[in-house]
This record gives sequence, structure tokens and C-alpha cells, in this order.
Amino acid sequence: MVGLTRREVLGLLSGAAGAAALGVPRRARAQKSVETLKVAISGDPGNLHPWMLNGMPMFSTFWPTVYESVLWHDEKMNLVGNLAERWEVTGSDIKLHLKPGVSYHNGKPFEADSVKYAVEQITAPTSKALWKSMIAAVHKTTIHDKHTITLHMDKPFRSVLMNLVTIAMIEPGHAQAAGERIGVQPVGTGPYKFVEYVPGSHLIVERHEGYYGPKPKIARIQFRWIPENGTRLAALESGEVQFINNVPPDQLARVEGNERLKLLSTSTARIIYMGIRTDRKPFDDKRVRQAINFAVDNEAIARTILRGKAQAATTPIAPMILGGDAKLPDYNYDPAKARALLKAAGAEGATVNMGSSNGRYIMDRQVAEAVQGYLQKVGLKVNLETPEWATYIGEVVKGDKAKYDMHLLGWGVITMEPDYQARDHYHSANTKRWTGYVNKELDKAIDEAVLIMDRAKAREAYHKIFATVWDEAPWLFLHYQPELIGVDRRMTGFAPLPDEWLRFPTIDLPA
Amino acid sequence: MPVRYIVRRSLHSLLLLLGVSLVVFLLLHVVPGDPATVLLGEQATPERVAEIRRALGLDRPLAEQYWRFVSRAVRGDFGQSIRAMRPVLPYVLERLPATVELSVGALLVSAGLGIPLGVLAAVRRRSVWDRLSLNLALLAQSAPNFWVGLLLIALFSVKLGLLPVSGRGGFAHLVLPSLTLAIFFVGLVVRLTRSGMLEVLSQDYVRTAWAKGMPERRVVFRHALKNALIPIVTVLGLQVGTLLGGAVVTETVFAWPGMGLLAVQAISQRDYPVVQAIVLLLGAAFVAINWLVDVSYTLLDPRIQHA
Amino acid sequence: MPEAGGRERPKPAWRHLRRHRRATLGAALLLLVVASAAGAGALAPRDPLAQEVLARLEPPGWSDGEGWTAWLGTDHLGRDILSRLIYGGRVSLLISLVSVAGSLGLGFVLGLAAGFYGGPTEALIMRLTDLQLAFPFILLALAIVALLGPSLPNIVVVFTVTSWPIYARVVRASVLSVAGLDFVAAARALGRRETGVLLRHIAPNTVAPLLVIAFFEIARMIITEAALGFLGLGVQPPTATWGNMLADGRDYIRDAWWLSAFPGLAIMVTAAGVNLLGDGLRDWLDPREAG
Repeated sequence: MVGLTRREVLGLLSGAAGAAALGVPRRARAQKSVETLKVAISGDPGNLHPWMLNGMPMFSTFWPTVYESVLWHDEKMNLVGNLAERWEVTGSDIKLHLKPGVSYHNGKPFEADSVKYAVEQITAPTSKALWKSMIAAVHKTTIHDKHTITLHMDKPFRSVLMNLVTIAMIEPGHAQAAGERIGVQPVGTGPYKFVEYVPGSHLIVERHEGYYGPKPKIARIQFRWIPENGTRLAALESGEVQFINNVPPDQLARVEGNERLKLLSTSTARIIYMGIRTDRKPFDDKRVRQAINFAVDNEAIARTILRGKAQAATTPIAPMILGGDAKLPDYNYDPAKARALLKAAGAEGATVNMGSSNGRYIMDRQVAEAVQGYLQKVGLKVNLETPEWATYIGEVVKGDKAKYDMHLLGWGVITMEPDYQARDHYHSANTKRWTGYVNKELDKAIDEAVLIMDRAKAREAYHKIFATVWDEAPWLFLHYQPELIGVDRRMTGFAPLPDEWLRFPTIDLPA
Repeated sequence: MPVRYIVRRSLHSLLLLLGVSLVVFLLLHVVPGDPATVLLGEQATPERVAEIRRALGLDRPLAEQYWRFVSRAVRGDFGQSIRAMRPVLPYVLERLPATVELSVGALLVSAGLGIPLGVLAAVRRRSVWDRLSLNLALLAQSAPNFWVGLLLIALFSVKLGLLPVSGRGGFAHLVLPSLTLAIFFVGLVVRLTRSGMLEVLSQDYVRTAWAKGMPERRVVFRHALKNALIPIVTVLGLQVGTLLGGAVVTETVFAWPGMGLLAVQAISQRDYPVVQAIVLLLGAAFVAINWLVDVSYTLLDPRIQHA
Repeated sequence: MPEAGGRERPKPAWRHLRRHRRATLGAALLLLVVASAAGAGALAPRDPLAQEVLARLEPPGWSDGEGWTAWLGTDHLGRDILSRLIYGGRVSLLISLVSVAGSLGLGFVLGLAAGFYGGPTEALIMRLTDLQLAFPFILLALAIVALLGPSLPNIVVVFTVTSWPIYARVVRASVLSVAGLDFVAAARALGRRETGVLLRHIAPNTVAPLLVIAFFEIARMIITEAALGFLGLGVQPPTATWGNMLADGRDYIRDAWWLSAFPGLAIMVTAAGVNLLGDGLRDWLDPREAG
């Protein structure tokens, strides 16, 4: 039979044989699933180009239904093969062995040239790709045969290997023909294929019958955008949709207490924090920064404002990331100690200009207001601003000229790779736009740690790095953001995972 | 001479449009935050931002960028949406039907509810109907409509399950959003209708008709209402701006895929070409309507000379 | 509109008020709101900014057992809603009143100039009003707030800049209708100076319709301030404004309803009071439309 692997043919035959043996008609055994799964998401991607997107709701929704990358994460967040069956790392080369028999939605075969195309397009000097920095270190690719390709780097960057999960494979012929219109005509290898996208309204995907792997139970998925929290929740409660993301923490009871619904949640790899500009007085004094951490009861915030669904931060990076599981001294809530530290540093009654986003992260503004309250309780004067996102991020990245002494942000390590956070936030080459933190020894440690391929050794190296960061406190460490999903209670086959990608293809919902 | 006036007026309109284009262009480029930074978000490094700005042509001198914008706009080319990466004009116009549908729905509700109530109030002056209409109108004009919208969803969609929660679809989807947008205008229409009717009903010719024994119905509908409608239409025309502004908030609450929501999103993403296109299109519509009104006044009554 | 020359003298205001219950009601409501805003310091039981994260979202009537009773409940950060409502009224009223004063003043001057001087002055000013009216409010609001910062004075700037055209147009129309009248021509013939004529005869006649509009504008601004807060463009937290409070409460409409119900009602009551008073004012000036 054309298009099926040997395994699938065997499966079919044995199934049919088994059914015949039992005398049961095959159809009666399978429970009928709902025809269309209706999903409501809080943000509209605006553009379906998988190399260009940013923002949590945007890439993590439909991306894994339509596109796939060479490597992926399993439920334990281990790196596993996806479109690549296996890989080898030799020195600074990554050799990928691609899965044979995979084809795109338009029928073209998936082969090594796809990988080459993706790498070259993303790393090109004129590339507008968002994830360029993820694989920028790859300067050459070598195709050995249709299903084998090697990526060449200058040095053995472990991060590049981990970052491959973010590079979706697009069919090269179609990509070249469509140019930027890929944003409205996605062609990938995923279990669903694109049907229709009306910006601002909805997106529809349907099951790809030629998919090489296990076929999804649900034939179609319809995504809708409902930015207003109350409205989105209402859509779930009224049954208009069966899946929503970003359930507001204060409305969790509506989902948990509703017998038709259930709440699925997990802690993610995204840490919510406030960066502190270490290049300004009095924040250049470590004692002041530590005082800030002691003054804020992040546990109370996690318990009340985040309704206990968030874990207060105990390390600078989410614990499920390599090196994030160090045991570090607690910044417990101790306003007296905070005051003492402030006094010792001569910073009593200092003024803090604080900024926060408003609606970009869960309860971001409310958390910032709470932080303001805590800091005021230890005598600091805090001016808080929560402008809209473009103004806010534009101001923050002004770096040393930014008006905010403290700024709230979230950093999601979707690649499960610690270098992504260590390099961008603690290496002096990059800290200018965040905290201005400079520590040459830490830089060296970070530069060395990314080249360690052995995970046990790497873990130790990162333990040291994060211990230093924790002590130096260039951040106010708040909590790891939870993922809060509300679904129809009868739904199976779905669990939110720390890398924030929502895996729709495995969902089943009885009709 | 009307012709000279029309020419002058047309010139003014064009200058006005040019003014609008200049103001929106300058505002966008002067306001903090830029599309490259928004696109990159937390990934924004100075180098990447500069690269993308170059790719988008944002590093050229302002005058050059403005010239490119205007010279293409007159040909109908509004460039490419930075966010959606597709041509702007079709992208924007595709949202127009939804906004028009919502506005028309709101106007129909306002007229359908407001005019009868206003007529009733005027004809039964000082009765309980009059009081009721006036009070309802007052409350309608005093309520923040997005709050009412959220309450309506809570009641009709969730609690009672009678109407869909959000989005655009069939007639049922239009009910709550139109109602929400119309709230302020229903109040306005009731009061305008009432005062317009009262004004006309007190005219001599109407009193004469009554005295002559003409049935009340005919008096009211044939004569009074027609004349009372003129100021209503005029005022509603002036309120178009408020209608569109209210549409933005209504579209947000109901996730209605109209131009208002697109405008707000485009502004927050600093999607310059989209914002510029929407402002110019709205401005052009406004200018065109004004031009039409002024010119028809002049043609109808050449004595009127406006500046 | 009052007719030239033989205009009915309006009754003394207080007598009119006494006989017209709706306007009186409006005045009373407004007095209540203004008084509580003015006396915020004395009336509010707590600091509107004082957070009590462990006491968040408590229903109206909740008490902490140590002397604090949250008569209207607490918000998502444990702040006393009643106190925030009272102080918020102050901010919302301040914004509306100052904005109306500003836009009225600006519109008055420009409208007067346009109507009186005519010619290119009038053309320029009228085109400016067109430009202003053609420009979407939300965009301008966002731009100004993004540019200048989201502080109270800047919100006033937003409202002032976007609202003056209606006054200018009304004043100009008024000036045009009055300037052609006999008594003005007489004054001119008698050799009175232009500006004198302008101020003594023309200006006072334009005031009446302006005041009526101003009242309705106050109401509109209170609601628009709420809308700006709803869209995240208003005065910054933690300052309490009714708009902010409504925006804060929008997710809680069905559970912690008290977060949005009270500011929503406050807005309605205040706007209704202003509208009633505006109605009364207009009726006083032109009794034909009284109800």
C-alpha cells in the first residue's frame, strides 16, 4: 500500500485480523471523536510564519499542529528526535539522520535540502527571522545524502543542538515561491494541514491524511482569538469552545468548580522577574539588590495573586532546566533584614522608578503593584508605570538610558537550554540592555559552560553560574509562570508542558 | 459662482487629507517604541533591531519615508503590513465589512428603539411614558458601554445561554455587540426625537391640522416625524466619530474582527503601514462626506457662503 | 436658539430649579459627588493605595476584626474599594472638569476668532477643526500618552486637544448669527471698537449654548476616561480612577462583582447628574423643550 510504512501495514492487517477473529465489526471498537475541536486563544498571531513569531500565545498554539522541527521535547522535556530519527555530535559538528518517507502537505518529500534551506534562510545577513540567534553559530551545512546532513559550527555549542527544536521545516520550493506569503499559506510536515486563516477572526486546520506518524483523532481544529479574559472564559463555560488558554488566576474556580470543565496546569520554564539596573546608584550595591529580594514576599504573591498555581522562584532559572535544580539560600520574606541591608548600604528611603508590562504576562501589572507595595513597606519610594507593550519594551531596551530602575519581564526558556538565559541576561556582552550587570569571571564561566556537551558536567558548571547570579541578585526573583488551560472535562490526550508549546495533535474528545 | 467654490472646497479637502497623512506619519515616528523592537520583543538586541529597521526601510530619512508613503498611497499602494507581511490595503479592507455590519446594526437598534420611544414621549408629553423614556435615555447616555457589554455577556450568553459569547457569525452573533454599541445612541436618539417632535408639534401648521380634525396618527407620522428627523440625521452624522470610537471598545469586548480592533492592535504593534492606511481611509471618508455636504448646500442654496 | 431682540427673559435660576425636579435631582447628585470628592481625606476610611495582599477580593461588609470594615469590599490587591471610589471620584472629576475648561477655552477663543475675523483666519481654523475631527481619537490618545507619559496632566491634554472643535464650531455659528444683527451694526456705526463690540455684545450671546454643551461634555469625558482606562491608556496605577477601577474589575464581573459594580454605578450616577443639570440649564434658557 502506497504511503504507509511497513509498520502501519502490519498494524492494519493485525487489527483487521484480530477484529475478524473476535467477530466484532472494526468500526464499533473506535469511539467517535468530535469532528471539530474549538479552541479560543488570547492572542492572534497575525502572521503564521514559524520563523518570525514572538509572544507566548502566538507560536505555541498552531505551530506544533502544522509544522515540525528536526528535534523535539518529550513529556519529560528530554531532547528527542522528531523529523530527525537520531543525531551525532562530533566535535563542533552535528550530524542529523532524517526520517525517510516523510512528505509535506503539498506532497513534496521532506529531505536534507529542507534543513539546509531553513538554516541558510534564517542565518542569512538580511534575515528578519526571530530565531536567528538560535542557530547563528552554524556557518556551513553539508548534505551527505537525501536523509543525512551535517551542521558545522566553529565550536561545539551545546545550545545550538538544543535550539534546533525552534526551527520549523518549511517546504523549500513552496517557501521560495510564496516568499513572505508563507505567513498566510503555511506548508509543513505536521499532523494537521492548513485550511484557512482570517486574521482577527479564526484559523482552521484539518487532519493531514498523509501524515507519517499516528493520526490525530480529531479531524479539524478551529482556533479563535478572544483577547478579553472574561469573554474567553465565558466561551468555554457556554460550550462554544472546548479549550482555552490563559485562564485568569482569579477565575480558576469557575473552571475547577464547573462539572463540565477541568483545569490543566503546569509550571513552565518561564521565570517572571524584575531586572535591576546595577549600573545606577544605589542599585550598584549588592546589599540593596538583596534587600529588595528580602523585602518582597514572592511566596505570598504566588499564593494569592497567582492563586497558588505559580511556584515562587528558588533559583534564577526554572528548575526543570539543566542546572536549575541547585539548592540555594532562600530569599525568604524578611522586611527587617531588608531594612537593615538598606541602612547598611545607605539607601534608606531611596526612590525606585519601576516599570511593568500590562497584560503580557499573567497578572503582570498586579504583581508589579504588589511589589511596589512591599518595597514601600520597607521605606522605599516607588514610582510605577505600566505603559502599553511597545512603549514599555522600547523604553526598557534603552538600557542604561532607560527610565526604569527596575523592570518586570518574563523569560521563557522554551529550548530547555540554560545558555539561552545565562548568555542573554548575565553575560556582559548582552546585559547592557537589561541590567548592566558586568562580571568578567561569570562571562568566562558562561562561555565555557555552553561548550560542555556532557550533561552531568554541564549541570555542575551551571550550578556554579546560577549560584553566583542568585547571590549577586541582578534580578528580583519572583516566580515561574504557570500555564493555565481550561478544557472540556471529557478531553484526553493533552497536558500542558513547561516548554509552552501546546500539543494539539494528541487530543481526543468524545462527540 | 458655485464652480469656483467647489474647486476651492476640493482643494481644501485635498490639503486636509495631506494634513492628516502628515500628522499620522509624524505621530507614529515620533512616538516611542518601534516595529522592529516590538517584532523582536524580549529578543531585541540593538544589532537585530538595526538590521530589521534597515530591512523595513525605517532607517531612511523621514522626509524620504514620507514621500514614499504619500506617492504610493495616491496609487492605492499602502505598502506591506509589518506584522502580517502582506499588502496593507486588502488586509485592512477585509475588516471593513465587519465594522460596517456592527455600525449599521447599532444604528438600526438606535433608530428602531430610539425613534418610537422618542415619538411616544413627545406625543404623550408629561405622562408616565414620557418620564420612562427620558429616564431610560438618561441612563443609557450615562453608562460606560463596555461595562454594560460585559454584563450582557454574563447574563445572556453564560447564565441564560441564549446568545453566543463573541465573534462574528450569523444574526445571533450581531445582537449583543450591536446592542452594546448602540446604548449611548439610543439615549441620544430618544431625546433628539422627542425634542424634535415637540418642536414641530408646536408649530402653527400642525395645530391647524389638528384643529381641522386630522387624525393624530397622520399628523404625527406624515408631518411631524419627517421634519423632526432632519436634525436627528444631522446630529447622528456628527456622531460618527463617537460611533467608531465606541466600536473599538465594543470590538475588544466581543472579539469582533472589525477595523477598530485592527487599528488598536496595529497601533500597539507599531505596524506603521496599517495604522497609516486606516487613518487615511477614515480621514478620506470623513473629508468626502464633509465635501459632499458643503457642496450640496452650496448647490441647493447659492446664497450660503462658507469659508 | 434665543431670538434676537425680543428674547424671553429666563426665570431666576433658583426658582426654575425649585420647580423642576429633574434638574434639582441632577444638582443634588452632582453635589453629593463633588462634596465627597472634595472631602475625600475626611470621608475615606483608608488610604486608597494601602495594599493588603492577604485580604484580596473580600466581599462588601467584610471586616478584618481590627477596626477596618470594607463596606464596599476589597480589590485584587486588598485595597479598600470605598476609599478608592471616593478618591477616584476626585481624579475622574478633576480630569473631566479641567479638560472641559481647557477645551472650552481653546474652542471659544478659536471659534470667536473664526467667526469674527472671517477670511483666511476662519478658513484655517475651520480646517483645523476638520483635521482634528477626522483623526481617530484612540490613535491620538495613544500617541499623546505614549509620547508624554501616562500622567494625569497628559490625559487632560489628550481630552483638551481632541474636544475643542465642537465648541469652536458652535461659537463660530453663534457669532455669525449674532454679528449680523441690528444692535451690533448699530454699535459699530456708533464707532465702538471692534474688540469692544466683540466682547460686550457678541461673546455673551454665545455663552448659553456653550454651557449646555459643556455639561454634556463633562459627562462624556467621565465615560471616555473610563474607556481609556479600560484600554490601558489612562492614569497609571496605583492611582485610583473610576476608569482604572472598572478596568481592574473587568475580569471579575461575575465573581467579585463589587470591583466593577461600584465604579460603574458611580460613573452612571455622576454622568446622569451632569446630564440632568445640563438639561435643566437648557430648559431654563429655552423652555419650549422642557419635560
